[in-house]
Amino acid sequence: MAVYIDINRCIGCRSCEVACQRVHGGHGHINVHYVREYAAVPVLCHHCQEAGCTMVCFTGALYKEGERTAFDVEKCTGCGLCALACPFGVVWTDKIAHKCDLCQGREEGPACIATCPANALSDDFDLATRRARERAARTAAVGGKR
Amino acid sequence: MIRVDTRVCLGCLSCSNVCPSQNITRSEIDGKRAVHWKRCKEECDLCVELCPAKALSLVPWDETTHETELSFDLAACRICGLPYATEPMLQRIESALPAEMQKDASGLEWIRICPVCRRNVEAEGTARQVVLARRKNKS
Repeated sequence: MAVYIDINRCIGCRSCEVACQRVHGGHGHINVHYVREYAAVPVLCHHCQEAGCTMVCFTGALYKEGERTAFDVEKCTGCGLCALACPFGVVWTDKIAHKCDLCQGREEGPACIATCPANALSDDFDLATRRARERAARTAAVGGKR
Repeated sequence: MIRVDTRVCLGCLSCSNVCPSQNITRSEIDGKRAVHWKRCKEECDLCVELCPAKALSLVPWDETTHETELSFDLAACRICGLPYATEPMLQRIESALPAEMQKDASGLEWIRICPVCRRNVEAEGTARQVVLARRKNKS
């Protein structure tokens, strides 16, 4: 599982950032980026199948647990190698590493998904592509106008 | 006392972070990172155990040895030009990751780019897809 983003829906309100910070004691792991006036893009951990951060972590603090890239704070020394090994720049260190843990231990699942008022975030891999197909179908049905 | 193998030290912040008595200090000024190992009498070996490069070892107390200080030039990001990591750390990443991971789909060597710029590249790339899709819908 990971958090999937439908940026056609993102309104750039940053509610996800606040929700993440609330759950993680002020240290948020999701960042909304604004690309000029075109789009708002929440940037967060992809939970890569072959995760660079886990490959360079020498204490085993970062490890794969199923689809999740999990983090054991007890083992982290804050060396900063993981932050440099992340292609997306979404792991950062400040004495210890900080990264998305998909709100481990939170029964309702990730707080960012629950909070997003525009339903732009989900843990359903098929949802974004299904919506894209539906949009395309609607466009075709009304003759190119939406 | 801590002995530092200056040839293998990465200049990361591991030892300084884990030292319970703040005997290892660091500073970052003008694109340089300096790490300073004070002469310590502790028998604790946390820093030795938790050094990713195995650069540290404990040696018997000796008053005549000097305190060790290492200075690293921080590599500059290829996009924004700001210093962000020591060269040995980047080389360690390059040797640990498989070659096909070290360039993204557009051939960008992302390891030489700072994490802040990596996030921007990621956001720009994702946004481009949306803008293209919107254009298609309008035409």
